[in-house]
Amino acid sequence: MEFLKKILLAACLVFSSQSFAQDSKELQTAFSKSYAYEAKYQYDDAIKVMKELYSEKSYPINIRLGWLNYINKNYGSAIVYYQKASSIMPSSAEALWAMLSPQIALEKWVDVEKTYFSILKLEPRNASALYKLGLIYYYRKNYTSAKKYFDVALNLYPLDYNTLLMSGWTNYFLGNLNEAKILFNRVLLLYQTDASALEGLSLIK
Amino acid sequence: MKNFKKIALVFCLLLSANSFSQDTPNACSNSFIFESKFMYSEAIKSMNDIYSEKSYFINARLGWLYYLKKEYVTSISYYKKAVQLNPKATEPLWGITLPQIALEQWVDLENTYLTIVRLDPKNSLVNYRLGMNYYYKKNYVEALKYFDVSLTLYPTDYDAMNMTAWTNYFLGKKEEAKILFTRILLMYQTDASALEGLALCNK
Repeated sequence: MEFLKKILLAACLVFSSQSFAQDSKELQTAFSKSYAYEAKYQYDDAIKVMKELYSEKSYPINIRLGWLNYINKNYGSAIVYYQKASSIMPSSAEALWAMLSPQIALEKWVDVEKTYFSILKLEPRNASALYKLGLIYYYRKNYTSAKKYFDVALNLYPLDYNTLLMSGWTNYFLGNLNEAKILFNRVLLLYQTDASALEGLSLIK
Repeated sequence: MKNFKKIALVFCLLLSANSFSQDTPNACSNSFIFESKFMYSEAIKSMNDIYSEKSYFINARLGWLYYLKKEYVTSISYYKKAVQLNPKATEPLWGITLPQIALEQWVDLENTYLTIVRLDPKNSLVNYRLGMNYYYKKNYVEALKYFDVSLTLYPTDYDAMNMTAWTNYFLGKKEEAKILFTRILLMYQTDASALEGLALCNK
């Protein structure tokens, strides 16, 4: 058993030094070329350069290919590469945030929701993820769930305009009119002529 | 006791209604207008005219305006009031870091970051800043602890990669440092800091 462990360790080190060696020169050149192509909007060429050195195990390559396919509007492929990056580094929130862009472009709302949940598992107090999940539930008219997420975001950033406003509307639709009123009024402290907050208040009065 | 609770509730409602009196939106609006014209004293006066110890908004706003006016000590005192009113909010704590940095109150700044990280343990920015704090104190073990959190969440973030690499270098972990410096060079081929680090690792 101990012997098997040693062999495995040796194999890992060889693999790691191999990928490290690859990292060094060839990869630097490939990345550099792909940046140059990207700057000229030659996304196919930028992708081709990266694919020539493709490795299933490389987080930076998969992330880069995710991005390049996204800007090339190959949203399906972008998602595949970001998913690979995410499986290589499952604790990376970065790969998940990136994956949202092609998912949104394809209007895959159920997948978007799942991605936000995955982000919240890694960053439980990320106000942006909390707000966006609140929005998803708000647009589904699931105001109870929406409020759950907006509340956490608002507790962290009590003067954030978007969270204040959407919490105002969510409370309004839940029939919590007093809370809604307080929140709409607070929006008006920040933006005295805010049309949405004024509309909300006029519905309550 | 029940009566006392009712009285307290009525008092709170009155206070809350009071803090949203008709003058409040006007005063706030005026303060934003003055701020946009860099007339900070007037902006502060607008808010002071409606000042309430119990208003999170007014205290946070005064914290900000005094910061802009470079009255950092006063700014901190208002932000602290906002923190007391909303102890679960990270917003006023981020606010308070600005005058603390301006005054170079590094111990207080560290305490503020530690408070933020208690409320939001996986916040990559505060983890990075705490890492920096310990890095400059040459407490590399502690620095690595915080940089690691940040880097794990955002593996290709330049700052997190660079500082984690240097921290590993100073901890004698040259292989880890080398991998990170090399990763930086994938994105920034001529990055001076990464090239310097790599050269030192290869010595």
